[in-house]
Amino acid sequence: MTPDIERLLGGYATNTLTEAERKLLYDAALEDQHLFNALEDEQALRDLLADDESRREIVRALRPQPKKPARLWIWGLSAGVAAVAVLVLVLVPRNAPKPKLAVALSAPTPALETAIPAPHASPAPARKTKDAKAPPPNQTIQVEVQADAIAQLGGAPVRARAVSGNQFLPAAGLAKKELLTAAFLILRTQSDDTSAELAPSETVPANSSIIVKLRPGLPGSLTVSEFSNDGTWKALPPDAPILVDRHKLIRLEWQNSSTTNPLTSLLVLTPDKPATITQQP
Amino acid sequence: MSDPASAAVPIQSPTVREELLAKLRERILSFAASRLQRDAAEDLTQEVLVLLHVKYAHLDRLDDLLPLALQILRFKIMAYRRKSVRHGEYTQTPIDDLGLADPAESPLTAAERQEMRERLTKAIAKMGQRCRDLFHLKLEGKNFSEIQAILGAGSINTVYAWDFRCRKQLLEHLGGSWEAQP
Repeated sequence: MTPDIERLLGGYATNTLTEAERKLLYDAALEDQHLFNALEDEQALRDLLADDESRREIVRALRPQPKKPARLWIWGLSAGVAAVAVLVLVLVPRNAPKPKLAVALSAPTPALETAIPAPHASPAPARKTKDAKAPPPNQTIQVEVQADAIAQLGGAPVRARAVSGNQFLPAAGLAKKELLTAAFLILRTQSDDTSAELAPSETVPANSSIIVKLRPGLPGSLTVSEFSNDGTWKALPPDAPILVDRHKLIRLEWQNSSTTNPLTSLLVLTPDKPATITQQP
Repeated sequence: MSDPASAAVPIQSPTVREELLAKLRERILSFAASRLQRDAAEDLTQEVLVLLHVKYAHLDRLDDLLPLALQILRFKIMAYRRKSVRHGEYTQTPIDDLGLADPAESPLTAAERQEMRERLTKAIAKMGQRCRDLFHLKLEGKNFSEIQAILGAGSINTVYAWDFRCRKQLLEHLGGSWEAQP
């Protein structure tokens, strides 16, 4: 069977060959038994596609799946919960020493709260991100990156630069391999205990519950810890609720076989009104 | 003195049609013999040829005759297989041969088509996006040249190659045949 002509077989069943292609294929099939057999095998598909109902059903199956509604990342979380969300990433270099972090870890909570200025606090050691997106209308949340404060807490000699979509970009100087990505899917719990994705314009009443689904952009295991009152990190099991009644420092750690040290990012949640966040794996 | 009428040459002379049908017979018989017993293959081939000679005597182009022969042959083989599994009915006159009016599709044919549709739908779900796009465009009636423009392929040969690979992949997902094997 001539390979060049064999490539025309795919157009036989769908009846989309041009006259020249058809002539080439048919003439060849009359002389070539293998090609004729291949055409006869295609006949089953051709007959199926000649049936309007079958054709419609297959076209439906081929249509691209409708895109899910635009996901809300931490911006939506901030607005929906009516809590101020200050989302910060501190990327800890793999081999970077963490002396200040160790101090912070051992420090009592008040020190932590002092170290993390409220989002509306001024003047700032905080660096406002220039390219942070403006919150959508009807949302009163200001999104700021308190980079310096977090850097101080984390002890890393880097500054989180910006939050861009679902990616947390490191400041210049960090190797790209240390870029952490995580998708945050915000779900609102409903009265029937099911959950639905939060629409961009949707607001969530105070004291209601939302679910944050974390999807790490890297393969491996994710550990979520909360900085507790006794100054230690406590791992949060899946589905553990996080009551955001004060500044919360959440640590996300990715670890896989290729990483010597876990890749760490810190998430600061600052409430406007108390709300409950549930993290799911 | 020659007869002017007899000198007129038809566009497709009966001889050319006969030659086409002779070649088709050869191909049909070989195909049928590869799937059925020799006697049955010869009978089926004869039935196909009789139909082409009698019912479709007005068709004389390969463009019409080849797809028609392929379709008739497929139906004949399917009917033969169905008949062969109806044990104890070989000596009876099949109801299909009694000439009863049956304008509607038989439930069996409808069920087979439904099954094939479902298999195909499942297999399509396993295809890559490019293959899905390509198949979709073909079902919208686009030819390879139009698909080349839509998908921005460098040449039409690229589209042929894509389509060939996609078809092969789809067939593999279906276990090597468009139809469920008996």
